[in-house]
Amino acid sequence: MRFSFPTLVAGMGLLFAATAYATEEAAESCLTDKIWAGYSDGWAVRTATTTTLKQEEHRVYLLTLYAGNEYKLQVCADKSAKNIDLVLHDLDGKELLRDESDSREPTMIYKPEETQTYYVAVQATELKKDAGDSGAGVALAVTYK
Amino acid sequence: MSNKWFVCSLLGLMVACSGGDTPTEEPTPEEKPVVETPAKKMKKLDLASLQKAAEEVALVPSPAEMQKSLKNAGLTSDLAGLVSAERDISMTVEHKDNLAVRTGVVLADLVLTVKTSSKESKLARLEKLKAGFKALGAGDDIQATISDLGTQITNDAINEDDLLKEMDELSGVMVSELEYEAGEWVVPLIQAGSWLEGANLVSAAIIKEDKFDVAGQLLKQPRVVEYFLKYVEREGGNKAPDQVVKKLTEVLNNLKTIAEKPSMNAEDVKAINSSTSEVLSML
Repeated sequence: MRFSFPTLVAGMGLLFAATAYATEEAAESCLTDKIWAGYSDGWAVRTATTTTLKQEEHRVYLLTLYAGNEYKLQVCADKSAKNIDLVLHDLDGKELLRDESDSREPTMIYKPEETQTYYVAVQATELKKDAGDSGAGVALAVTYK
Repeated sequence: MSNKWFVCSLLGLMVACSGGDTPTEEPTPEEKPVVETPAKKMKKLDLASLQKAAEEVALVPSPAEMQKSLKNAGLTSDLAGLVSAERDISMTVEHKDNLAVRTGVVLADLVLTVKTSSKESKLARLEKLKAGFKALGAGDDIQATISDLGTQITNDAINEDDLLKEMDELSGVMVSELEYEAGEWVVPLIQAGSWLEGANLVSAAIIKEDKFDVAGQLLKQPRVVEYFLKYVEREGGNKAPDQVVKKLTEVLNNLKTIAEKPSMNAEDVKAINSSTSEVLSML
């Protein structure tokens, strides 16, 4: 079992990604590999979710994080994305951590000082010109140890 | 000159068409100044934008994460050892809210005991899960996934570490991504069942080890409780009388009051433990 049903046909998804850029399946497949690889370093998955983002579009997710645990927020986007950004905010909206990379697979590690609900924002900051109107498939995982 | 404008419009080479007979000289690659385009960065989002856009798919911690938090907070109890071995939850109830909560509790128990329970116990819990998901209209895929896991367990074809990963994915990812015929409220109520069981076990561990100083760190989650209440008390919900749902609503409101206090003391933890036990004993 992979992280959701479309990934059961991951091979098919990757083939599809080669002809149609924006696929959530390709993003999922990439993220699933990272999640599985993380287990060997002690990371367990808490949540993974997939969406499609157009240029400069964003999604915001509420997260409950425990003090004492270490969290890794990982994103994979399909090939139509150039730069995906990831920003963690506290419940008052204050920015705590911002991914500074220009990657379509950003990662952030955070160890909260208090058990609290946080916001994580994921934005398709830059898509490739040929992404068109379909946007990019983007998958986010929250892992912990 | 008329030909000149034709060429201009055709090629769009406005510089070359600027009038002089001497073409503009392009700098060689060596002469070109290197101008790096600053990478675009995500715009800042204010609190109102965050609140408006916030989705709750990742809000609720998983039972396995609760176990990890317990360990990281310095407690030595194993939640698996605190899971009731005698409790036999029936999955034949008609009330769908009630059934979703039961499914969540079974899922939590399965995840927490995956490394310690017998093969028979794991298979029995998987069968209950299957029955719950089927009645909630979760589709055939999850039935097939659970059946496949059952077969692997029966045939000793999966080791404990891999089974743990499968359970993490089942509880943390697959359940929340599924669409349920019964409605969008199913996921929150399954999560409520799992969280309730986790909160009950964590509070039991705190009481057992007399570690009330870490209660806030492990149990203070007012936003999570609010999320559950939103669905349990939803308008147009399953209004048929159900004692479990009625009790759950009462308990969640009590937990919300406790979670909103600046800090938690021993009495609060005992109240969490006894009130969650009340709901769980009705299943």
